[in-house]
Amino acid sequence: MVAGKGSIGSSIRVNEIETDVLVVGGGSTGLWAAIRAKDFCSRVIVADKGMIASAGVSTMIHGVQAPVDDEDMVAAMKELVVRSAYLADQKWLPIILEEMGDRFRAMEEWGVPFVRDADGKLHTENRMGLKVNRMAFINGRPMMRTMKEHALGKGVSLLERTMVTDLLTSDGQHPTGGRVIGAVGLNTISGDFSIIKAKAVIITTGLMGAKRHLAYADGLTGDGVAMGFRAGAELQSMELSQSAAFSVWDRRFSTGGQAEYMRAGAKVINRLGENLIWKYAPDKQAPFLSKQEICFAAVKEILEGRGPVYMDMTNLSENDIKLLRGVLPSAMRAFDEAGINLRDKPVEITPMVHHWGASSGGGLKINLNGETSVAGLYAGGCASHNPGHNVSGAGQGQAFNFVSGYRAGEMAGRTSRDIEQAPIAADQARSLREQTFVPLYRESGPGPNEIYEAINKATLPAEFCFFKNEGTLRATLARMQRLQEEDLPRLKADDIHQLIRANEARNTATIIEPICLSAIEREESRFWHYREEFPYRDDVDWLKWVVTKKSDGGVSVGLESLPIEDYPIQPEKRTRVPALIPFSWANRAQG
Amino acid sequence: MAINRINRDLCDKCKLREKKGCPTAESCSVDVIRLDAEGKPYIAYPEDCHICFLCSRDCPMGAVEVSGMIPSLALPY
Ligand SMILES: Cc1cc2nc3c(=O)[nH]c(=O)nc-3n(C[C@H](O)[C@H](O)[C@H](O)COP(=O)(O)OP(=O)(O)OC[C@H]3O[C@@H](n4cnc5c(N)ncnc54)[C@H](O)[C@@H]3O)c2cc1C
Ligand code: SF4
Ligand code: SF4
Repeated sequence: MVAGKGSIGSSIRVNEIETDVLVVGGGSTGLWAAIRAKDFCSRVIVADKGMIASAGVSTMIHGVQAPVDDEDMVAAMKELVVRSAYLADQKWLPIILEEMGDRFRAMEEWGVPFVRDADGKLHTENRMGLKVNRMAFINGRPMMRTMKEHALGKGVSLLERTMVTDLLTSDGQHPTGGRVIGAVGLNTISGDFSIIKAKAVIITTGLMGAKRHLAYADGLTGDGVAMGFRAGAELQSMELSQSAAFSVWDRRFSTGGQAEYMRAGAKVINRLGENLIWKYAPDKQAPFLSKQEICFAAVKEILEGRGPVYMDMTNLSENDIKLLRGVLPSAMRAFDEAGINLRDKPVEITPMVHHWGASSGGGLKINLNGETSVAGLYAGGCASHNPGHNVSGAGQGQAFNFVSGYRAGEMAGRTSRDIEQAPIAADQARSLREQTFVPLYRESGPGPNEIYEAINKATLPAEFCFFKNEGTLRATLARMQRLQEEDLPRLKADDIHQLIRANEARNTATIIEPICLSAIEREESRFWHYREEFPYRDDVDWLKWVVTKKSDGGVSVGLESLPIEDYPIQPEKRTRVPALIPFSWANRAQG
Repeated sequence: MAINRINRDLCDKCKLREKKGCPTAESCSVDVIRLDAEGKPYIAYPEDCHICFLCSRDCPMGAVEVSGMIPSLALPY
């Protein structure tokens, strides 16, 4: 790239495109949105950073909430509300449960091969301790390929290998007082710049990650959430968006299967050989801890000097291992490659937070029609807040994707029929092009990988991921603000590939600020959000959602009380429930 | 570590490449693999591999070698 010639980005080829509805992100949510929008308008484009059906996490899924029978609907809803500790949005949940069945059956008609038993019945199982809600099984890749074919057959246009970088607004401002009227982006190989005029834009860019090489999600960097936030859209529940797993084994490779190993009889033990489930389970007769509790217990053991923590499978038989090989071939391949025989000795495990917003908690705030707080901008799936709150892991993520995508697509498609395309402010298109391309024109400065290293240094420690307090959160916030003010303006890219990474880094950095501010606001401990000063779940004062929004020069933080009194399912009494795994930094082992 | 190698000898003889083109660049959502002027794949940005194995799954010849080991992983505790 020739830097320093003409104004920034002036040598780049520019394509101008016009559409009724632009969908940003072609995962299962985005394809559902596009397919439904097409019922109402003639021109629908899906832009995706990668190739649809290879990119995104929908290609990697294996479970989808199974359709719920009418007679089980109330019990299914109650089970999910209780699992959410009553934080779930009880207007959204019945919609998801009721409409999910139609989305599921339509996908089967298109040829999506959900797993069926020998007798032809849909194969479903109860997972994650749920007793009413059941999960159906699917390989995400063929599911996405079938959906892609269906979208193409319906006349949806695809703009693949195009990273959308920012939104165009009717007043040319960020945050806007007007509406969203399109977006800009660049081709990830050629760098060609696109100005896409659209009457409605739907953000379906998936979860928010920081390139940790875990969970196949390095291409998902919170772009849509960040660009919506910059344009003035509200975010909800950002403090509740993290989740973690025993992602790193033997300190050198990542693989899954924790639940299956434990089902087979594996133990989680500390350096002293103590079984963590026995140690922390409140019911010693039937000891059980959720994945979240085991992760917290393991990090506490490590910080208090009783680590490392191990998965101990030495008691499993050859036959147990053989069965595991059958259900977890990739995971077993990873152990083989590392030269580990699981029956020989325990294997060290390290809990890590992979990313934020994978079907739990935060993202763009949407109403029941997928509308964000900015006119013309819609969202769904992991890019929006999940109204289920902590209700995931047994296919509920996909159920919300299908239903929220469909609803956002319908609303955006309908609305696009009633409005004229607003003219693009030339100044804004030019300044966004410069913003996108400027890293290519810098002679020196940190590269995107250095920025990601700095982001991960600030956001991987237990002070941010597991045992937070106001001090640790403010320290992370200050580091991230410094990075935004001092390092991002010097960010340098050597080629188009790095330019994409540079724009991604800017987005990841953008979303950490609302995460920190929302976590400071929530003065209680709930799900994956633990506050040292408030080691209890507070159902008296905290049945609330935290909402953040860009306001002139800063970020405003607000609270929205759940209308729990109007909801059909209510807690018997509202109390403060002590956290199961409390921790104080005063007890951190020295050395 | 992560993506290790693409066996060019196998690519030279690959019928799929001749008929439909090599699928592995399309498999890679993070732009690690590119195709050269002859349509043969090469590893352009190895440091960005997020170990999803899609490229190795999509190559019917077993030419793409991906390791599960994570390079340069800085653990916080
Ligand atoms: C490893 C893993 C496994 C999971 N398994 C399950 C499961 O089995 N069942 C379940 O219900 N949930 C599962 N989840 C949760 C899961 O994330 C969601 O259910 C779901 O697949 C997300 O769908 P989506 O459409 O919101 O996003 P994705 O499917 O991730 O799609 C987002 C798309 O947006 C594109 N994109 C991103 N940024 C841009 C940009 N700037 N411009 C253009 N395009 C962009 C991406 O390339 C991608 O194609 C899993 C999550 C992970 C991490
Ligand atoms: S990588 Fe595999 S599919 Fe691609 S050209 Fe080589 S042998 Fe053929
Ligand atoms: S393993 Fe995945 S990320 Fe790595 S090169 Fe192959 S397709 Fe790309």
